[in-house]
Amino acid sequence: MAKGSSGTSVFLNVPFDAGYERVFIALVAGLCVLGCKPRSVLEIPSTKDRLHRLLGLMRSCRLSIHDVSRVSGYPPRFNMPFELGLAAAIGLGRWSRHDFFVLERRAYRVQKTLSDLNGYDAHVHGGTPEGAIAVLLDIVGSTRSPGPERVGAVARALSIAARDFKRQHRSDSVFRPAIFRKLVATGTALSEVALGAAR
Amino acid sequence: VTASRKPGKVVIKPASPEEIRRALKVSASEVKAAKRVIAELRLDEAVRRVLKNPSSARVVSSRSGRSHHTSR
Repeated sequence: MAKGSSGTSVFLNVPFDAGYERVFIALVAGLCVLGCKPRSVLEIPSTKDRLHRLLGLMRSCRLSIHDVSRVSGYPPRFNMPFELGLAAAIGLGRWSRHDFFVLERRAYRVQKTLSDLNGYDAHVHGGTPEGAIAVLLDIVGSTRSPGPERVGAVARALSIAARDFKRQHRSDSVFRPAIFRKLVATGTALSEVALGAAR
Repeated sequence: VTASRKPGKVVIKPASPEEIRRALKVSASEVKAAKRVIAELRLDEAVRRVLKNPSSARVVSSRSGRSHHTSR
C-alpha cells in the first residue's frame, strides 16, 4: 500500500453525465454500506496543481474503480482512460498495494477499445444500478458482507435524496463537490439503518 | 494488482461512518442536511420497508405527499 494510503478509501473514476447518475449513486451507496470511503476527483478544486493532487488522492486509496463505458463521443472523453493509466502506474509499482478494477457496460468491448489491458478482466455492469451493485460486491468485500438487496435498498433511497440535493443546489447534475459530500453523508446514515435492520 | 488475469476480491475492514465523513471533509451542516432529507422523505423507513418486503420498492415523500416509484 502506498505511503499514507487508507485501507478503506476507494477512488471512483466514472463519467460525470446524467445518463450515468443512477450507476454512480449505486456505487456510492454500495461503498458506504461496505464501510469504504468513496473518493472522487470532485474533491479536488480546479487549480494548477490539480494533477498532483489527483495523483496523491489516488495513491492514498486502497483501490480504484474505473468505468470506461462512456468514453466515446465527440470530442472523446480522455479523463477516464487517463486516470486508469495513472492507477495502473500506481498499482504496478513494485511495492504498491493499490488495486485497480475496470468496469464496462458491455462484455468484451474493453478488449477492442483498450487492447493494452488485454488479459485483464473488465467487470460488466450492463449500465444498470443493479449490475453496478453486483460488480461492486464481486470486487470489494468487507467483514459486513452485505447482500445486494441491502445495498439496493440504500441505493434506491439515496437516488431519491439525490433529487432533493439537486433541487437544493439548483443543479441538473449530482456531479458537484457539495452534492457528492451530501450523498456520502446520506449514504453512511442510510447504511446504518440498513445494517441495523439486519441485526 | 487485482485487475489481473485472475481478479481477486479486495476485502476491507469497514470504516465507521464518522471516519468516512472525516475523510471527505463533510461539514456539520452537510451532515445536518443529509439527516433532514432522510427525515423529510422518510428514507430510513423506505430502506427498512424494502428490506422487509423487497418487492415494495416505493417510498412516499412526506413533503409532496406523492409516491415515487423507485423500481428500476
